[in-house]
Amino acid sequence: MDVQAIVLTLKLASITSLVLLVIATPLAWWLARWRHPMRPFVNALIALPLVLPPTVLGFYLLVAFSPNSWLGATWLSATGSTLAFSFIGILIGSLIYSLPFAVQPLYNAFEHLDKRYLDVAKTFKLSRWLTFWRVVFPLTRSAFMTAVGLSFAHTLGEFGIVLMIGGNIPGETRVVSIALFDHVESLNYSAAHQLAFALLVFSFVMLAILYRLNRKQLSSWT
Amino acid sequence: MDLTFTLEKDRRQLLAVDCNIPAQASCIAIYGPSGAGKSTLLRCMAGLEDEMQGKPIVWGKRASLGDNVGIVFQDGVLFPHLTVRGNLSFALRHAAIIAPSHPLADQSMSNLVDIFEIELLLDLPVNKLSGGEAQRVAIVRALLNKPDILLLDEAFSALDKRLKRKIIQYISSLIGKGLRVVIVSHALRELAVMSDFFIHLEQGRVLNFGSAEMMLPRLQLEADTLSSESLGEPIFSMLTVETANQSAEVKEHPTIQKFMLGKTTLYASSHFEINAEIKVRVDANQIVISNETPGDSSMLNQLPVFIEQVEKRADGRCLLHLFTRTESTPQRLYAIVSSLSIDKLNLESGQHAYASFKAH
Repeated sequence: MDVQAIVLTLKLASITSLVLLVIATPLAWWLARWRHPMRPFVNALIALPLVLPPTVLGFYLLVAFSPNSWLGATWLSATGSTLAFSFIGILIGSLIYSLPFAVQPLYNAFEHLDKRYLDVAKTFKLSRWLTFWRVVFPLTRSAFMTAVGLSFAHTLGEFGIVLMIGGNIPGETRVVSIALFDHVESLNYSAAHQLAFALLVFSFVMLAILYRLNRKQLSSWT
Repeated sequence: MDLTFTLEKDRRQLLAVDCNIPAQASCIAIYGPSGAGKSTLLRCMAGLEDEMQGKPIVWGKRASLGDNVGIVFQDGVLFPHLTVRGNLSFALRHAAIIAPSHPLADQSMSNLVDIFEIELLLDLPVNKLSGGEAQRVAIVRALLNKPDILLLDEAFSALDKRLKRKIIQYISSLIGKGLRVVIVSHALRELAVMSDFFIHLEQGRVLNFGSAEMMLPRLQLEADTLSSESLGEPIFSMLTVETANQSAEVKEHPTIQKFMLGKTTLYASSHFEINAEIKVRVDANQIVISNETPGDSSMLNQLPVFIEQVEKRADGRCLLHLFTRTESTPQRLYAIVSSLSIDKLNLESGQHAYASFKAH
C-alpha cells in the first residue's frame, strides 16, 4: 500500500481545504454583496477551473512557475528552490483548481441569506466580526461544510494539474492519483486496485457524510 | 418630501428619500397597499438602507443607527439556530446600556415574557412557533434591546384580537413614556389607535403625509371608496378638545375624565393633565344621530352638528359628513348610519342634528 502517497494526499487536501476556507469566505461574501457590471466576469474567472481541462491550467502554472517568469524567479531567489515539482507548487495548483468548489456553496448561501437577519444584527450594534460569528456563520453552516467537503474531495481526485506541475516525486508530489497512474503504467494492477478502491470508498463515505450532515441541518430549521 | 424607486430586475432599489418628520411626532404610521414601498421606507428611516441617496430626517436627526433601534418583521425573523430563549438571551447579551429614565428601564425579561404570554414557548425551537407566537417573541426580542425607536413592520398581523389589543395597549403605554415608534401596516385600525403622524405611500411614492388629525379621515375615505376590501374598516374623526377641571360628578368615577369642546362637555376614559389640548378619536360607527337633543341618555357625549353631505356607500349604509356646531371653530366629524335611519329622520345636507357617542 502506498502509505506515503496517501499521507501526502491527505496533507495536500487538508491544507487546501483550510486555506480555501480562509480565502473563499471573504471572496464569496464580497461577490454576493457586490453590485457591479464586472461581477459576471469575476464570477466566470473563479469558475474557470470547473470547465477548463486541468492540463490547460497546469500548463499556464508551469509557465508561471518556471525560473524565467517573474513568479518563478522571485520564488527561486527567495527560497533557493523552484515552485514547479514541489509540494508548494502543487498546493498553489490545488488552491486555484478547487477554488470554485469552495466559493460557489458559500456564494449561494450568502446570496440567499435573508438580509433582514443582518438588519436585526445591525440593530443590536454587532460588529462585523460578531455578526459573522453569531449570525451569518450559524445560518450558513451547511454551506461551509459543503465548501470544505467539496474542496477536500476534489483535491483528493486531482490528477492532471498535479502531473503537469508536480510530476511524480515520492514524498513531495506523488499523490494517490499519480501513484495509481504509475501502477497502471507498470501493469501492477493489484496495487492499482487497492488504491483505486480505497479512493473510491473514502470519497463515497465522505460525500455521504456531507449530504447526511447537510440534510440534518436543513431539516432542523424547516 | 419625495420617495422614488427604480426597479432593478426583480429587486426594488430605493434611489432617493427626502422626508422631514416633526420632532413632536411620537408614533409614525406608514400606510399603503402591498408593494407600495412601506418596508423600504421603514428601513430608510432606521438607517438600515445603505443604497439610498439622501437620508430622511426623522425626529430632527438624520436617520442612522446611532439611535438604539428595535425592529420587528411580520414573520418575526427569529434566528432559526436558537430557541426562543436563545433569541431573547441574544438580545439581552447585546442590549444597549440605557438611562434610568428610559421607557423600558424597568422592564425585565421575565416581565416582558409575562406581558406577551410567551413563558410556555421559551424552550421551543423557533420553527415550532405559529405566526402570532413568532411575532410576540420578536417584539419581546426587540424590546429587550432597549430601543429608543421601535420599528414595527406588519408586526401584529398574525395576532389574535385579544393579544393584539393587549400588546397595542402596552406599546401605547411605552409611547406615552417616551418610546418612539414607526409602524408599517395596511390595517388602518391598528395605525389609528397608536399613531399621530401618517405617511401614505403608493407605488413607491409618498401620496400624502401629515398629522393623524389631518390624514385619518382622508385615508379612511380613500380606503372606503377605492377598495371594496376595506368596507367595514372603521372611520375615525379627530376632535380637538380641552381637558377641564373635574367636577364633583366625575370625581366619583376616577376612570372618566371631562373635556370641553367649546362650551359642550364631553367625557372619556383617560388621564390627562388639566387644561391640556388633546385629540379625541371618534369611531364613525359608534355615532348615533338624532334630530332633537337626546336629553337624558346613557350616551353622555351629545354634540350639535351640521350635516354637510349625505354620502351613500357601496354597502347600503350612508356616510354623513358633519361639522360640529359648538361655540368653537367647527370641526369635521363622520358618522355612519343606515339608509333606513336617513329616511326615517329625513336627514339631508344643510340640516342641523345631534351626534351622540359613548364615553369610551
